[in-house]
Amino acid sequence: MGRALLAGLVGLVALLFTVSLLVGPAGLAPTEALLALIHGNGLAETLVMREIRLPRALLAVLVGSALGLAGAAMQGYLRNPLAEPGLIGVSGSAALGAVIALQTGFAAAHLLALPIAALTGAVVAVLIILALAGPRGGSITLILAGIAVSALAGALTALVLNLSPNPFAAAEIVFWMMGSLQDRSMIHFWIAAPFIALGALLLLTQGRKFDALTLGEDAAASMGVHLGRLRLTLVLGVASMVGAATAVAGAIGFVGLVVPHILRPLVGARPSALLPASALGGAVLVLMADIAVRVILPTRDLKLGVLTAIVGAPLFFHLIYKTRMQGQL
Amino acid sequence: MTGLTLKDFSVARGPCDVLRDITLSVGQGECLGLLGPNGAGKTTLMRAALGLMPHRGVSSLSSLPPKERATIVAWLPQTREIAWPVSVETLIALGRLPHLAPGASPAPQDKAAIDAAITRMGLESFRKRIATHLSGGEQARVLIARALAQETPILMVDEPAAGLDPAHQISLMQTLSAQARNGDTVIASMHDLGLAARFCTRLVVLWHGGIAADGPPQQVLTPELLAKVFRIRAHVTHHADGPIVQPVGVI
Repeated sequence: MGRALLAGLVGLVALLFTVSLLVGPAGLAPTEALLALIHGNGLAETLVMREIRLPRALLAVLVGSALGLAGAAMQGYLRNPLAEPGLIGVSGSAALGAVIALQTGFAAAHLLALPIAALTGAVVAVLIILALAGPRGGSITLILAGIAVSALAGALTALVLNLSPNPFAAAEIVFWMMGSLQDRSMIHFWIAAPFIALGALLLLTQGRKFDALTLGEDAAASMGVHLGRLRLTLVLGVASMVGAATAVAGAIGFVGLVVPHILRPLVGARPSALLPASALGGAVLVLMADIAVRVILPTRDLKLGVLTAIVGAPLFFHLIYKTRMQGQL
Repeated sequence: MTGLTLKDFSVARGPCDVLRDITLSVGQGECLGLLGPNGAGKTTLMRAALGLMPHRGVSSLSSLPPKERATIVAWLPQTREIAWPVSVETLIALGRLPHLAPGASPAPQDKAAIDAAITRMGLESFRKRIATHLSGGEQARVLIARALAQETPILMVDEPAAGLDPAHQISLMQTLSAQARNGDTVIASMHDLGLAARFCTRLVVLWHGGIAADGPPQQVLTPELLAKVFRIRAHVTHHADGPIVQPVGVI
């Protein structure tokens, strides 16, 4: 059942990836579009496919899988279905870095300035969290440190908006923060890919430790899980993936929360099985959302993060309702 | 050599020692009941001996590398935690994690250990049920089965009988003493003096940071000790089934 689910999700990712390549304002015919992508005739079609649509579809897979996997890892570590990747404050800090780059004009000066500023914000957040949470200690100190960092990053982001010189600058920042994959290039893909690959490697290898944590921290420790090392690996893995995803796509909420929740019953609730499934599920969700923003309101530049939140929040209501019905809240 | 050896073992919580200079050796074949009033340090002794909290002095278990230790001792904490709605079988299979090589899937001997643990705890009909949907006592039995499935020569359990109905309390204690008769070492913290007296081969009473008594149940559970340590009066008799201890009043 686990294998069939993964195969189904891979198939779904491939299908949606292809659809994502075929949707756009240029109005290319499907076969024409794919031939232009593969062969490359040096014409406008090839340019559209290779420089606009391919990076967009690749980034949707990359960002979606990062958010889904990071969410499943956070939930597995904290043993809480309401945990999400933003909880440790990395996405807020990455957004702050990006906002500062936009505000100061660095972002306009160089293509890489914004993602690099965002990644710097993520790194600073990780250092503060690790210093606050200490070398020994459980998940509670990590959550508290994350909340503190998130709050500070949010306050500083508000300060930057508050001090922005004109309404256009403020609007640019606000629109960036809504999250989007529009007008991204292959450079964005190559910036994010190594960090996300590293984070995926760190997190996907921890499956058994998350399984052991099903029995609680004490029992897991007695079964040979080094809790301090696991927490460090989790912070580095989540920060690497979410920091890179935020740097190239802005803040895209609810994916990391909703995807593990939807897939959990399908993998028998095993945290280790949920990791790869959520990575694929995240890619599916972000691909679908990114296709939807182009199809629903093609002329209005609907932001990806807005759509995921609009779809995600009701699913979250459902999660709370269901948890309450089971008498767990 | 298996079993547990503690030498000059002290555990501090804040500025004061919870346990001071404990020296204790538990060998193979012993089913040791760890007794003491609330706060005497029963859980602390076991957690620190396992290396789950800092201590001074020597513990034969905490000095082992964590991975190796997990194949020698299984630990059942007092808080019965089941975080996710996994099946009973999946949960019990977690006991095999310390035995699996990285990336390996469960081998026939792992499946045999899981089946044996399920049978021992009488959970055959629960196999496919969702663990979090079971009652508290049923969950406790599933978690004990997880510890049994770990198939370690030492079993350390913190108040295993709490929350079980009388029949399951007795069959649990029979299971633990059978483990000990097979040559394993069982260390169980307990509050039920009657169960401890009947099923343990040896009782250790913790009191004021030290060992107040150590020996076979009938030697340890004297009216004087029960009055001094537990502040109770108890009716102690000997019966064909073993010693009977029934607390009857508070002093």
